[in-house]
Amino acid sequence: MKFNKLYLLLLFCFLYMPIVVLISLSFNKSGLPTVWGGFSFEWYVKLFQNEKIFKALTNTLIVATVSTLIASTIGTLLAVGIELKKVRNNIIEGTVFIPMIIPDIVMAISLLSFFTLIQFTLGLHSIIISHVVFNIAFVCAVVRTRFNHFDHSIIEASYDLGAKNIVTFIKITLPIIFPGVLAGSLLAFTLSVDEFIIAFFTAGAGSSSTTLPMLIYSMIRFGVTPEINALSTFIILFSFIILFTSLRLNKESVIS
Amino acid sequence: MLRISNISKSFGIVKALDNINLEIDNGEFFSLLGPSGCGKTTLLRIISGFELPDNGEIILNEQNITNTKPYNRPTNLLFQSYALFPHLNVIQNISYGLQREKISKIEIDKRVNAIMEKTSLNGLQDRKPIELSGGQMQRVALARCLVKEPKILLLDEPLSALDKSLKEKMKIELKKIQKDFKTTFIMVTHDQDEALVLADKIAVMDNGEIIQVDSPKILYSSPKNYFVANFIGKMNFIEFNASNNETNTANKKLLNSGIIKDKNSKSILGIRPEDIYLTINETLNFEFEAEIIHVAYHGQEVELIAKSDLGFGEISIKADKSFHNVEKNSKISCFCNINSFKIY
Repeated sequence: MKFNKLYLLLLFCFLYMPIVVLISLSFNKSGLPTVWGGFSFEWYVKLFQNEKIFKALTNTLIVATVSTLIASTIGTLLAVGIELKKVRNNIIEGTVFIPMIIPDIVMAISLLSFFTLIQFTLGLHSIIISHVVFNIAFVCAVVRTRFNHFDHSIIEASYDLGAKNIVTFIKITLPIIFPGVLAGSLLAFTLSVDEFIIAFFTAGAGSSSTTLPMLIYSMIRFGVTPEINALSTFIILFSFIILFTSLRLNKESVIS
Repeated sequence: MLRISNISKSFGIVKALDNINLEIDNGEFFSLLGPSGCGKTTLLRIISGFELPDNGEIILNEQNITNTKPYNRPTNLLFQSYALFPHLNVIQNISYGLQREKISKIEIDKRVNAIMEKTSLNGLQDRKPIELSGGQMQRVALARCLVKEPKILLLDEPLSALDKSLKEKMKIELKKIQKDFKTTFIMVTHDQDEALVLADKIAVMDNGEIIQVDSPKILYSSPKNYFVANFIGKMNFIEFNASNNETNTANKKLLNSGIIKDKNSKSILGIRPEDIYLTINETLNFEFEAEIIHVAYHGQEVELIAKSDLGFGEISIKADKSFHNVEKNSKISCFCNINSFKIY
């Protein structure tokens, strides 16, 4: 029993100590990771004065919002199509999942090659398209879990009571699967905000389409400044909130 | 009147329905009865428009509705699972169908209130389906269909999800509601008791075919063949085999009595437990002996399980309470009328 608790403690330390260190360093006045110079909000002030970071943040939010909207629409319809039409086709199920498990670097290279082949101008829009590709898979997977306890006869009941396809979808199917759609969208949004490799490959030259993860990467080449620690603290906080909301939504939906 | 003519339907190589012909009068409580897999649910889904037949026609009041979509049919289906919309409350569930028609809000409210009154759902307006009991859920589902004033209400095993005491209560309620609304009810069931109690007319189905269509009374008293006799109520069967009629005393007895006229025939005889009488009075014109194996009490009456000298195997005989204390292995004389035997 004691060993189990010790093991759990070690595991949590291993998982969260680096994050705790990062967050505490963001309040370190000295600016050096090895010396504690006292508590300070200095780096947060500097962060908010940095225009480059704000530009990157705006880019990230644009990419995340637009790609999430597109991906949740397509992903939801895909999930509904697979579940309601009872498509039990291994090829379709497989192709839907592939963007989730394919290594990011492979996807990044393939997307870049594809964009180059069709002579597509790179920029924010190409990042958006690339993020839509993998986000569709995640949204679809999350929405499909909503159909686990779904009584298909309620769709027929709606038809039977005089509603056609579109009315049935808006009035019956969508409200029932909506917690799943929301959870999927939140997941897609966080994935898009955090995503680096694919954005890095498909952003094109120039700094106009730099996203936040890309900016952090370029800043880190000149040493980890406490500004980055402060920024990372914000990103961690943001990701946690969204992830917990998403988990809760899906949990509630399973109960109901 | 609903006329179903020459309906056939196959799923792959499985023939679900084979040339079905039926006529159902307006205002009738009609039941499709058969074992699972006999095609009764497929037929119900064809009438409601969820399946299209391979061939044949569905004519409702001289109008061909074979290819009409479910949302345009004057029929409504009461689903086995009730299929209530989980995110809508009772009022929203019931008014959903009316909101799809071009009806004013005042009219909708009026009709919904009237139907809730009739199905005793008052006070449950704001409940979600998850907060309702099984019986209440069924009444909501029923109200949701009836508020649309369908020409035909289709019921898919409506009582199967209820427990036994509630089932009995809902049987009476269903019958009352049907008489009240004068709507044609077509009910699918595998439970012969449900069909006998509720329906004005029953179609017995087996293997995608209709075997017999009659009123419960006729169906029970004159089942058309071995399948119906075996499926509806309880019946004892004896096999009459011409090949050994010289040696078998039972066969001789049946021949002598005139029940079996052609001594070279091969047939099965069936007799209902309540048609076998136990008496010392010899006016009944067919007699056989039996030995009691088991006495089963059913409250007021007794069921005797006995072994007869006829070759019935174990037979079931209904007796009155004077047989409550009859001993096991005691011999009894059984009498019946030769007209009680059915020949298949």
